[in-house]
Amino acid sequence: MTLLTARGLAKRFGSFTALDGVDLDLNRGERLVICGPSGSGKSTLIRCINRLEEPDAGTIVIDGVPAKDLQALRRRVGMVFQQFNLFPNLTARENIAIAPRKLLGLSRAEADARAEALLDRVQLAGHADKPPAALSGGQQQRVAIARALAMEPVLMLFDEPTSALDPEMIREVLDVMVELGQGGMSMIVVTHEMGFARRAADRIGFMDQGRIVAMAPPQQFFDAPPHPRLVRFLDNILGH
Amino acid sequence: MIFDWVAFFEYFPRLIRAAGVTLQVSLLSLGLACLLAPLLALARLLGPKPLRSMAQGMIEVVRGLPPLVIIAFAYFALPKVGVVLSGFWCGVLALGLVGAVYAAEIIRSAIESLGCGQLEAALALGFARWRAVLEILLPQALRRILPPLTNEFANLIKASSLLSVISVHEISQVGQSLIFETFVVIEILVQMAILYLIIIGSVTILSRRLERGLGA
Repeated sequence: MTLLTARGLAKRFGSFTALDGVDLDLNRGERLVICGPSGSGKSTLIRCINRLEEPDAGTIVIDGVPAKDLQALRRRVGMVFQQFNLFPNLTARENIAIAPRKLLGLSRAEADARAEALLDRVQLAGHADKPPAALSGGQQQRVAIARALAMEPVLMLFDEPTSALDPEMIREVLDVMVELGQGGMSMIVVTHEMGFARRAADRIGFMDQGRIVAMAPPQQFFDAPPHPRLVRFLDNILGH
Repeated sequence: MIFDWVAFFEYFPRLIRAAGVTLQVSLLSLGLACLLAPLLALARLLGPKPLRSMAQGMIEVVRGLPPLVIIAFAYFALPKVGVVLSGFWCGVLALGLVGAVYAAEIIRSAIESLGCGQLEAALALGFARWRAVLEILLPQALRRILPPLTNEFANLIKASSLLSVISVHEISQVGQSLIFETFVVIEILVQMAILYLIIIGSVTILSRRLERGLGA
């Protein structure tokens, strides 16, 4: 069952080609990890999927529907950012509750209940009344995941969700993501965490110079890398 | 130097009445500025291209002219196109416009200073752009808006002294004519200073209260 089909995605920034004709398919419930060197177009790719970047060319179909209504599309596709981007003036609970309340028309009580349940799910029950500044990086990122989940998306996008975190906080965020994947959520994760990719991904894609040059299940990806550029990449990030 | 207390108290009532006019002009133009500024700021941030250019053009023109020139335009040019207003209302209009333009830039820059991460987070959740700005960014920007806005409003109150040139009977105009009538200089200047300080001081205190209310 295909959830997402992208064909021929292209995007240039000035003279720099970020995406050079990318095709991508994602099945319902599939967990896809995208890795690659910096500047290879990974972030641009997932930002094109919820149209935070407008692709110059190509088509994206999600759930059988071409994305025409931007807001409707984004309500069904959750996104987690490298820098968390929580709203600093709101508590953890309000951060999660605001979108369902304002966009889905939930009452304050309903939205708060949804927020509390999600905080519980990301192991942050009891932190509901804290503002982001009172939470650690790992806790903020888990609130950000809960905030995206509050819209009940059919697909979750993660843009280097652990790159801004201290090493000891990476695990708690990855654990939440693994659990989310096990619960059947369709996910596309841009990350350099190869341990996570091995543990949680159904397929791993490798990007280089705006193209997906390799795509394989974890075992094959690591044990028999299907592309010479990938061999070097894995050497560099696993070798040190 | 001998401070003439008798003269001081003799002329004080007239200046207090003038302070009432200063206060009215100031409050009305502040009100006008508060009404226009968010509209101008939002037009610049969210408007379609022609609206954005219009707002920007208006801001550049008003910012590029001394308030005195704008006041003179309102007083002498408006009647030529059939709009006849008293000096008082010309003053309110001119100062309100000046205040609105500066306040609009304060609002716009405060919203832009939040960075694109906040806007993207709101967009990614499914907020339309205008709702993201109004419901997510503006509440955050308020605490950055208030301190510079207080400055701007203090400037506006002081600029009301310029209305003396179109014979609005506010503090500066009345003070000046009293000085020429009576040759009592220092006592009247001191009265003018006290009255301005009271008016601007109250605005500052009010704004501090508001800031604290916002938790800034």
